[in-house]
Amino acid sequence: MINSLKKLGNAILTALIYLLAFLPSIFMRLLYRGQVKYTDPSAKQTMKQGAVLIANHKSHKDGFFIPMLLFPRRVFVLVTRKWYDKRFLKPLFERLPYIPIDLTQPDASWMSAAEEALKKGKCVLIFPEGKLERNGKHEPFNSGFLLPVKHLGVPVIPMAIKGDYRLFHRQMLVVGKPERIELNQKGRLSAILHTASEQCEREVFCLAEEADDERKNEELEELIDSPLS
Amino acid sequence: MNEQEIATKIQKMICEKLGVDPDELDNDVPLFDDGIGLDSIDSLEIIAGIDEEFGVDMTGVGKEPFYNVTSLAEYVANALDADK
Repeated sequence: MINSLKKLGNAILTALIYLLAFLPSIFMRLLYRGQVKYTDPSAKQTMKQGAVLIANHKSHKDGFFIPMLLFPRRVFVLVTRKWYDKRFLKPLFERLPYIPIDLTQPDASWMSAAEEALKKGKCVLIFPEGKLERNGKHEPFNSGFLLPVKHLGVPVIPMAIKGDYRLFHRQMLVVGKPERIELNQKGRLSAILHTASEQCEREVFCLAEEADDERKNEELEELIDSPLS
Repeated sequence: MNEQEIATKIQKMICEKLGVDPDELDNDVPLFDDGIGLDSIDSLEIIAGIDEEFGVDMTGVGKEPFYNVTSLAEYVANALDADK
């Protein structure tokens, strides 16, 4: 009886948290004028079959913003233990699709969790820079995000976040072309992954720059069209 | 399974998964830095490989067991003994 009540309580809490996750997705779209732009129409279809999503990392909000914009698609997000274990955030992270990763030591547990989600056709979002970009300067990619790609042969979808999370200013997520990366070549794994990771890094940062130009042009056009100008 | 058998399996796994030339790898050569030059990504594959092969979880165990194949085999053998 007590167990059943506990299970029911847990189910209600999870449902509430999901509901609470839905509301921010509306707020994100309204307050940050969140918009998703697909540069390749095949990306939407690819996401339905499971893919590793990689993006630049500009703010702690990214890990919430991207899944909210892709809602109702369920996107698993890799989050560092430093944040995952915070007392006030842990109950949320545990119930929402977040996967903890310990960056202070070799930690392979995230890989099995990520691969389990990918096998079910879900997407896993990874920020390969591993930390926030400071002063607009990109950080080099860590190639670990390619391990599930190597194990399962799933595609990689590059993405770029543009905008500074200023209220009522356009915040954009640009989704690039899905790539199938051949990683089962002969040679040292670390070297193969490193080369592939550099290629992915170029694609993400290229998308980010293109999106930045586009966003600035759009803001300029809006300024010109504004009745106050 | 004795320690030598475990070491042989680990050697094979490292060569297959990480693309290390079997001639480069003996049980006592250091795996990282000045040894055969593996990196942190390779260590994740070793952890995943050992979990898959022996059912031993090495997440968060510190650097020492990763020094060479012998130390890895010793760690795995001790973990398997402790499970008995």
